[in-house]
Amino acid sequence: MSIIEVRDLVKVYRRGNVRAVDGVSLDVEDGEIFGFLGPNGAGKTTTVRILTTLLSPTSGTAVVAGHDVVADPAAVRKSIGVALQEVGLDGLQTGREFLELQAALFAVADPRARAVELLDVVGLTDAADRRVRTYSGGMKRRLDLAAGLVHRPRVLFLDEPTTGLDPASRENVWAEVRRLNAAGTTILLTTQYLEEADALCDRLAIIDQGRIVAAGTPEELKASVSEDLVRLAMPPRAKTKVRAVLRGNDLVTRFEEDDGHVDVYVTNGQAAVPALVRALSDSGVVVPEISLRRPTLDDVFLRSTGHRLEGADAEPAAEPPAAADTARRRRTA
Amino acid sequence: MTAATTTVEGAHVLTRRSVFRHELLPLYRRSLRNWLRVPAAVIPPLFIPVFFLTVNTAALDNVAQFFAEDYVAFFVPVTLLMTVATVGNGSGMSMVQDIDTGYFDKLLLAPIRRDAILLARLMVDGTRAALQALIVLLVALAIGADIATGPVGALVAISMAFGFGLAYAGIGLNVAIRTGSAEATQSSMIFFFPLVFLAPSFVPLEQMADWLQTVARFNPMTYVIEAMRGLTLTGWNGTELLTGFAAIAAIGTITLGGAFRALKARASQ
Repeated sequence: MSIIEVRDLVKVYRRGNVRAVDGVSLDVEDGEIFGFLGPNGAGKTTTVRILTTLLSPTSGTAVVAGHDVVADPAAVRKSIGVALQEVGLDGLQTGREFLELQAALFAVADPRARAVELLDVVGLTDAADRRVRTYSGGMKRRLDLAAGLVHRPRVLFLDEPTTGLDPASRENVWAEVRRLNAAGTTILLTTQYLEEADALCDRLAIIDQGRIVAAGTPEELKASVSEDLVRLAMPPRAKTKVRAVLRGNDLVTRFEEDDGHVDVYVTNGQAAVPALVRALSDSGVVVPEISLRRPTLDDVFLRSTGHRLEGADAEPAAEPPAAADTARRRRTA
Repeated sequence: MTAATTTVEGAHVLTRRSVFRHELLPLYRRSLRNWLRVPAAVIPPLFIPVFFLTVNTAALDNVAQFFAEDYVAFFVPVTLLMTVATVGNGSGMSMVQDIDTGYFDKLLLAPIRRDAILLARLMVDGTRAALQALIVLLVALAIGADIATGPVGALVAISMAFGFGLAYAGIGLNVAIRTGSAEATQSSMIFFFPLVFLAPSFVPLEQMADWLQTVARFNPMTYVIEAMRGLTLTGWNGTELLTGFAAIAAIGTITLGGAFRALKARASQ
């Protein structure tokens, strides 16, 4: 059963006439971890803001937990938990006060008890009575996540939950996401990290320039890239011979040379490696190094969009997404 | 606990909720706590009006004899209005901060009435305005002001200051919600200058130049000041009081109406 159903969603920002989301359709099944993978500005955050009722769509429909986001936003809000990219905390409150207030706003029966419970879940019991402004980045992220869980939502939206976190904190968030999912929460997360999408998501959609360009399980997506990559170290003074061998081999679809190596795209890696070694050897070329790499999500991304996921698995770009987000919030409605 | 609860979606959530208990009260407590936790936000708003009251009245005491026997009582209303105006500025800035930190989004994501976000803030503003006005009034009494209408009149004067404080807060909140910009919200303070200087704030209306009198008659602040001044200086005057409250209601309808509309627009962009 789909717990999120999105059909032909479009969002055009009047200012600048930007088509941030351009006909997105997707279904998220009850109980799965669904990932939205794409670079900054691909439309991930805008889609999440529409699904969480913070933005209204220009056209298209979205139903979350059985409620239409436009027709019945209040019912949607009761069913979902949200942790946005930029934590929305209040530095003057203590962690405990913050969660108690959040629980009260969601009409949780015993806000105090729920705050105590959640502080324990996210490991902030010792810091519970310190003001939030004294928390580290990772602690703030955990408190923000806890705030999204006060009412035990059926669906949890996490917008780039690990952007800017150190590897250890990232692991913690992943463990928490898996734990929540095992307890029955459906999770939709956005990420610009290939590794995160691969490790965490049951299914994912690759989004670029407001459109979904590929969707499926990480395995299906990778299998859909029919090419494997064989990487050769180019022997000195044998470039011409190597090129001739590669051009004459049926398994080779194309190859690219770079700085002492050749990346050879082949239809069947298992068969291609011995065949290439033999052919090169027959031509009198000894290859000092050869390796076979299976397709990654980045290859899927490249094939689907024509470009690599910019800054994939690297630190956030010069202008962090948070800045764009703030600008959007500041803009006059 | 009288309210029914449900565990339908796995959570122990009340099915019957009260706007006051689950929305206004928790939000009110939060804003009040935040205000008290920043001493820099509590002291200066009191210091400036008290400074004005003591220094200005001392400086003008002899000159003022021409039109007011008790210049402290004459000047108290303006001081009270200055006091509550600082509340409005602080309120707008707090709203900007919530928008900037993303906390405002968190409130929009909660299943509460959007109006409650603004109402709770106005409740805190009202509390601050009433408290600050009371303190300034006590200082005025301490330095020798004599309130013509006695303690009851003093309370009415405070309630007028309270009303004006809320109406004035609407300006900063309007700008804050519409722009989300601290600079713009800070700049909205300039509205206070024409309101105060184009009114009989320092001298009686009839002592002002003709053109200024004409302008002042179009300034609702004139009627607020005159009503309050009646209470502190001359005695009860029903018409003056009604006009004063009507002027506050007129300012408030425009500013607060705009603020609630701005909130609606921001919440449904």
